[in-house]
Order: sequence, then C-alpha cells, then structure tokens
Amino acid sequence: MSDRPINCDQAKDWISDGPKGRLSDAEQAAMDTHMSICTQCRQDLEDTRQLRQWLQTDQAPAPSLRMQTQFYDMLYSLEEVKSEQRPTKSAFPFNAIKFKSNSAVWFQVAATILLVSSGIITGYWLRSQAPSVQFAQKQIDTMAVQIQQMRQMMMLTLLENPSAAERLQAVSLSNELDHPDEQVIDALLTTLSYDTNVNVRLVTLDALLKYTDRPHVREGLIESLAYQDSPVVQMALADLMVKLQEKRSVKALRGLLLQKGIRSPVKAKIEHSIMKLS
Amino acid sequence: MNRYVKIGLMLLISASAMKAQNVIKNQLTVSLSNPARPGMLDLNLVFGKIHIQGYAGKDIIIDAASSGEPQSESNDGLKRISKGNPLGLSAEESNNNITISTNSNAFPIDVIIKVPWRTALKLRTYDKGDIVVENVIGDMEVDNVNGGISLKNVSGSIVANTYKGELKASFQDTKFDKPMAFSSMGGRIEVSYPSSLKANVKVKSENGEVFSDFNIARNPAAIVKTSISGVNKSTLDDWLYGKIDGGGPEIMISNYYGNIYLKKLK
Repeated sequence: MSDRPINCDQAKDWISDGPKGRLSDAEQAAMDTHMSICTQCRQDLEDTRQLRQWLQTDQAPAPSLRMQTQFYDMLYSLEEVKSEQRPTKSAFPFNAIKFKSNSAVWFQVAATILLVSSGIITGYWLRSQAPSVQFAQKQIDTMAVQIQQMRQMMMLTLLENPSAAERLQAVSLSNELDHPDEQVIDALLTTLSYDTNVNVRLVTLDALLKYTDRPHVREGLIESLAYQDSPVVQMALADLMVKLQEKRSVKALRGLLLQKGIRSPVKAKIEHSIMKLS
Repeated sequence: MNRYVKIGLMLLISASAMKAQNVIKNQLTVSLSNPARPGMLDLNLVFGKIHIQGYAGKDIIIDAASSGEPQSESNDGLKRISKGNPLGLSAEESNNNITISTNSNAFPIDVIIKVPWRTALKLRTYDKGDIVVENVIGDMEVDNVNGGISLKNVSGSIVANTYKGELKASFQDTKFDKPMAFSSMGGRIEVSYPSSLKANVKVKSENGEVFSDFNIARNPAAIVKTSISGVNKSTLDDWLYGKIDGGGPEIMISNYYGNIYLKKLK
C-alpha cells in the first residue's frame, strides 16, 4: 500500500500530522510523491508549515490589567445576581426565609395591625361619644315606666278573669305597682264592691290599705260598705273604718245594720264600731 | 265548639219507698268535648252537700240524691208517684265547661260527682251540708256558708271561704303559681302543705291564735295611713306577713273566731 499514490483528501489529513512526526516512513514517502505531483496540496502544506512556525514563534499576549479587573467585576456581578435571587440561603433558618421573602405575609401582618388599631381607635371614639350617664338613666326610667304600665294593664285585664285565683293574682300584682294611677285604684274599688268571690274582696281590701292616705280611696271604701253582703268583708271594713277614724262611714254602717239577714256577730261588731266612731 | 249539649237524663230512679220519706236518686254522665284538656265544673247548690272525687276516668259522673222532698199533706192512703225529674238535675257542657243545676233551692240535694283527676272546680252551697273534695288537681273556688269545707289530697290554687264551718285543706304538692286564699268567719282553718312549700303568707285571726310548724320569716307589718282634718295618723296593720323558704305565691288565711293552723304534712 506504500506505493499507492494517495489522493488529495488523505494528503490534507497527513499535512497537519506530518510536522508532528506521526507519519511513518512509507507514509512520508507517499506524501512526498503526492506533493510533487499536486501543487494544490503542496501549497496547503506550505501554508500549514508557515502557520505552525508562526504559532511557535509568536509570543502569547500577556493579559492586561484591565482585563483582570473586568474579569473580577464580571465575577462579582455574577455573584450579586445570585445573592439577589437566593440571598440568605445559608445565613437564616428556613421559616425566617419564608417569612422574609413572602411579601403576602407582610401584607397580612400590616392588615392585622391596621384592623386592630382601627378597632381600638373606634372603640375609644365610641366610648367618648357614648350616651352620658344621665341619658342612660333616662332610658332606664322610661323602661321602668313602661314596665309599670304593662303591669298595670295586665292587672286590669286579669281583674276581669272569671277565675278567682287569677283575680287574686291581679290584686297581688297591684301591690308591685309603685305609684298606681286612678285607673288602678278605681279598678280595685270596683272589685271590692262587685267581685263575686269573698276572698278576692278581702285581698282587695288589704291591697287598698296602702292607699288610705288618699281621700279618694277613703271615700271609695265608705261607698263600698253598702255593697258588702259577706259577713267577713263587712267586719273587715267596719274594723278598718275604726282604724281610719272615718266618721263619715257611720251612716253607711247604720245602713248595713238595716240589711236583711245580717248575722248577729256582724251586727254586734258594727254596733261596736259605730260606738267607737261617734 | 260552642255547641251546647243539653244532656238528657238517664233516669235510674230507684224510688225505694220508705216509711216516712222517699230517697230519690238520679245519675247523669257527662263527657267532655275535649277530654285531653282539663274540664271545669261549676256547681251551685242552695241546700245540700257536695262531694267531689277524682278518679282515673274521662267522664263526669254525677250522682244526686235527696231524701227531703216535702210530702204532700193529704195523700189519702194513695202511694205518691214522683215526678219525672224530681231533683231537676241537668248538666250543660260547652267547651269543657260543665254547669250542673238542680232544684236544691226547694229541698236539700246531696251531690256526689266523680271527675277526672285534672278538673277545675267552682263549688258553692249555702246550707245543710259540707263540701268535700278528694284527689283533684286544678284551680278551685269553694264557697260554703253554713257548712264546712274539706279538701283532701288536692293540688292547684284554692280560693275557699266559709262562714260558719271548719275549713280544712291538705295538699299533695306545692305546685301552684297563683295566690291562694282561705277565709272563714267562725270556724277553725287548718291548711297542710308538704314541707317543700315556698310561699308568702298573710295570716290574721281576729280572735284566735295562729299555729304553724313551718319556719316563717316575719316581714314588718304594713302601716295604715290616714289624715283627718290635717292630722296624719298611722296605725299598724294587724296582718301577719311572712315568708316561708324564701317566699313564693301568696297564701292568705284569715278568720274571726277559731284558730288557724298552717301545718307540714307528715
């Protein structure tokens, strides 16, 4: 194969290897033969040889100072970019990283503080604007009056109930009224005169005792004497008249004595009362 | 349900002829229009006694008896044939309210009525008999004039009054929310409650004494005020006001003659 002429392609491969001494003697001979016939390849070989010589002779340029600074600048700038992206990876524990890096958390904290502080401020503001003690007292008074009115209404309604127990309850409700008006007093006086149950009348009489300092009540008590047919109530009223020293009642008491079917103990009691009064 | 049911009479007349007088007996059964709800019984006698018994049934069974129907003077040896309904017994029921009427204004009639446990009562008689109520739960209004009142093992708010007789009441429980009142003119009053009683009491016995084994915390007496021609006068009220176990609905007891007993049920 050493005698065989080589083509230009192979010669080109060998051109770059030739100077390094990698070619065998037979190859070198074939190469030389080819060089002698092919001008193109001879030219190539010459160029390669010249380039190699230039490379060997020419000195490598020394790196300039500026290049060095530029390099380091570049390095630093690269590092900065990295540190901006993951700045604390090694310096902080990881929840702190999350906390610091997540801007939404900061927003939430800010919102919380804002809300709480606005709540406190509103609270103080409302307190400073709150109704004064006097106003509150007024409200309580209004409510007390309303409750009083409701009780009064309830009492007046209950007084007309057919059940005696309910009417008794109505009368005891009247004891809870602080300042009953004329309507209540009149209702009680009506009950005292016209209620069908003796016990209701008795309890009503007792409820009216609280108001005997009102002239209207005393007059009503005297008037009701004429309507009493129950001995128990008759005697209770006669007793009360003595206690009140109500001389005007003598006439009504005398009227009772004339009542048909009056019982003897009652008669004795009333006579005694009349004696005490006159 | 405002229908009026005039109940026909079931005349179970057993006219057992006795030597001097006849005993006439009538029975009447009334059912409530709404048995699920307690009924209300209204009985107004003039002469006679009333005896009410609670029982585990739904109907109201009225037994009326009389032995005092006046005899005509000259019967010429003939046997007297009584009227169809000599006692005039009738009952009206409307919306669970039962009203019983009789001819008791002419002669004494004794009425024995069986009612469901839960029944409200309104009873009144004037003469010739006591009123007795046993084992009934409900509000009661009981009035007597010349007889006693005896309420045994009852419950509810009671309003009772008599003129002459003794008034006795014993309660099976203390479940009442309305006031009660017991009054009498000339009889002793004895009221017994279970020891769990909580109530406000108001007691007065004009000429008698008050006794109780309940622990009554006394409230100050009320003051009766008056002013006569510019002179203001204050007198202490004679009522005894007190609270039993912190207080509750009011119980009023008053009489003129005879003692008052407020007792614990043993």
